[in-house]
Amino acid sequence: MSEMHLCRLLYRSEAAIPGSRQAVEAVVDGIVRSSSKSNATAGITGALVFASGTFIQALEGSARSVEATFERICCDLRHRQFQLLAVTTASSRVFSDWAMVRSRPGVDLARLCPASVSEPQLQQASAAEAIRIMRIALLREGAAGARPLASLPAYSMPC
Amino acid sequence: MIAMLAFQPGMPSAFEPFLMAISLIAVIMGITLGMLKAIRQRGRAARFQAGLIIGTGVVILHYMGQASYLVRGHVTFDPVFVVTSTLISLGLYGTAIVAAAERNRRLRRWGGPLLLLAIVVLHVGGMASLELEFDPRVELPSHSLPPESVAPIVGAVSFSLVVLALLGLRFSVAAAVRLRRDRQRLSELANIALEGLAICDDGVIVSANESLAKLSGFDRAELVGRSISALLPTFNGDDLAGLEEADATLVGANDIALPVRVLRNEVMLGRKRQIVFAFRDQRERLRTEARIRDLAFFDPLSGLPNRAHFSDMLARRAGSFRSEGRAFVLLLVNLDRFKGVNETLGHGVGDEVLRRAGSRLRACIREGGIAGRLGGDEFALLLTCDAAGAETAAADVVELLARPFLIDGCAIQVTASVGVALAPDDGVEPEELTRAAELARSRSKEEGGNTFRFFEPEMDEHARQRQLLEAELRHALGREQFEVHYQPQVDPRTGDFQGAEALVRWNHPDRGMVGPDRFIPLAEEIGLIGAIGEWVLQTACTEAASWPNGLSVAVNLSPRQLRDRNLVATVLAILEVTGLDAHRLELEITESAIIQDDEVTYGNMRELQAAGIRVSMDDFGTGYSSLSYLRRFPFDKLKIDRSFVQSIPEDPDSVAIVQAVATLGRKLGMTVRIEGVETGAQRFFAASECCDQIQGYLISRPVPADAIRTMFAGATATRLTA
Repeated sequence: MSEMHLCRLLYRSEAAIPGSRQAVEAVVDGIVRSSSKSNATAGITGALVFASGTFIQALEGSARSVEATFERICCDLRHRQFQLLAVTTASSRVFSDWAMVRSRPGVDLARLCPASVSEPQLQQASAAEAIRIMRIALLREGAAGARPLASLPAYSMPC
Repeated sequence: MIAMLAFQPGMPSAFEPFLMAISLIAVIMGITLGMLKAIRQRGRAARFQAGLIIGTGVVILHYMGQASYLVRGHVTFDPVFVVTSTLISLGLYGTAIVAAAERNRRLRRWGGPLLLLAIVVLHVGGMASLELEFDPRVELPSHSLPPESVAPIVGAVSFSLVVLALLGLRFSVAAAVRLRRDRQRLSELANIALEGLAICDDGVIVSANESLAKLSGFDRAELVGRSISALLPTFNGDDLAGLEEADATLVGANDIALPVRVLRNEVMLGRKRQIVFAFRDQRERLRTEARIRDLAFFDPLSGLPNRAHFSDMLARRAGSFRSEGRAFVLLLVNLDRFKGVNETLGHGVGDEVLRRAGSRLRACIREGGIAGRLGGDEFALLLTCDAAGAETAAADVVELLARPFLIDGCAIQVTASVGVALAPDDGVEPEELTRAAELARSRSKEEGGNTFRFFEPEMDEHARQRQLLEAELRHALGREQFEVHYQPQVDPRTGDFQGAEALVRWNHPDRGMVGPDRFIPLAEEIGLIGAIGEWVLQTACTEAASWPNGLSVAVNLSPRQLRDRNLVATVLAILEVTGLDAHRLELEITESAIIQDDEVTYGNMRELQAAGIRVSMDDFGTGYSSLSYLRRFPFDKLKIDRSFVQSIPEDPDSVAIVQAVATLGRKLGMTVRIEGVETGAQRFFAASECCDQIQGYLISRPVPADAIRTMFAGATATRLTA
């Protein structure tokens, strides 16, 4: 699993998809499907949380592929209020593949983030910080996960 | 027959003329048909058949000739001899013709002798088969010809025919050899040609060169027999007259299509008219053309249309508006702070930002829209939409360009200022629209960037005013329209004058007195600040030199002046000329001037201070107020901004701030001055907080030079009389 020059990043954004709840869900499903495919090809692992209109995504992989994937995400107008929370280098992966987690209806993840990400944390965001933030999100929402969470080490590690 | 003519039967003889004539016609036809066949048709079998035809003619000649032979008696034939000699001679005729047309010269030599042998065999056989029996009862018919008159005619005709036949055959063979040699040479020549060549007969390739084999991917052997229309399915050769060329698509092996230029020409090969197709590979040329077109019309970095191409499209859209009336929109986009990216991270990263910014802009355009890069960090969008669509697009541009660029592990934040002009509302002509969009974009920039603005007519007016002001400002110095006013500074405890701050005014003939806040930023921008600043310094120093000794003058320095490498020399020269002591000059620097951590700026400040000139920090508390500046440079004086003083002493927060800054200044060994003192209470507060100087309307508003001179002279007189 150990790879040199790994890059890990974390961002949050708000979905900007018009239409009913079902329509939004359908678009998000499409995004998840195409991301799964392209991330697998590019050797990207990570996790995407979608809750109450908020995306939180962690990506890790080679610097080149993370940069390319991130640039593609930045060209997407289906989300707004884009915030890059952390960019770090890492020597090994914490996510074994790429997974999608959804929140239960009524759970407001937007309140969890960025409230849980305070300014000083952002300034000195490290890999550990990124994982911690993801972990908070995943633990709170994990029960409703659409994919097996066993693939997420963040979930199995003690918080 | 010649042998027969020489034959002396020992009895009166003659020839029946009718049969003889037929026999001559038969031999002429036989030889003619046989030779034509031998010349026209190729292959040994055909030639053998030709020989048989000739032989048959000769056999007919022979035996009809014999049949026309009349003697006074009876003529009979031995059938065995007739059949045997006929068969052998026919075989020999056939072989002779085959041999005569052989490619091998040694074989060819056998043609003549074999023919002769055939004749001999026929004649010997014919004569041997002849049996004559004398019968005096038989009379020769009256119309019969005597042998003496027939002999030379028949002999000459027969001999000539045989000779002509052989000669004809030889010429035909020589022509065939020459044709073959021509073809050989042509094919050798063709194979060294760069162009693909195919020789076609009736639309079918009969020969092709190596280049065509290479171009098409077929072997030369595979090409032969292939129809030309299979190679050029879209090409109609009939469209090409003579030497003209045409573009076509060559479909080669594995159905690979190649762009080619085809030249079709008719040539004579030997005596045959054939069609030659020449193929020139167009891939390289088309690639080069495409590259040239790209370079001419597209920006190589972003791949977007360049300025020239974009302008063309804008002009075309304006033209189609006049005919179709469809509204369109021009967006001008400029990256904020891009210069900083280039300067701090290098041009490589800067270029990457531009490239990605270009592709993000592409994501902002809807159907029919065009994005272009006009140069530097300037982009443009041309969209077919209404105001609402333009607003969406502009918001998208601002949104996408505000997202970070992740380059080499570094998150680079750049934002965009966008100006929007709508056609036809803001104009239709490209220049008009561009100007409107530029004005709108300038407004976005002025408002701090990361936003978009639609053009409003007021912007035009604003810009016009600014332009006018700029033109007038350029002449103001020469027309001596500037004045320096002075605002006195006093000790809050004693009320003694300590000096005055020099403040520049523009005495405009129409507008009246214009304050520095209205023209100094403009002067900074258009590069006039150096000249104005120097004039102010000169004037203030001259004035201060006439004041009572001990009173100093404070002059503001602009950021641009501070970055001037000649600043120190200029200031020292002015002091020298005016005779003002360096200790009586104080230079005020705003925080924004030193925010750029510039070596030249700090070097100037250190040198000025070393020369004995005091350097003070102006308007402390309004900018970033980073304490690191205070550590980096030992300012002589700290000026607390008027905005803190206004609400003193009522507002405890302002009181706390002023107290803290005053303490800070004192601890760092700086003189502290409070500006904007308007009330007695504020003066009292300043005195109680141990501030060293106050300045404000309480003491005096800024006054002209003669007024301050009077003020200072009066104070000195009062003190002297006291």
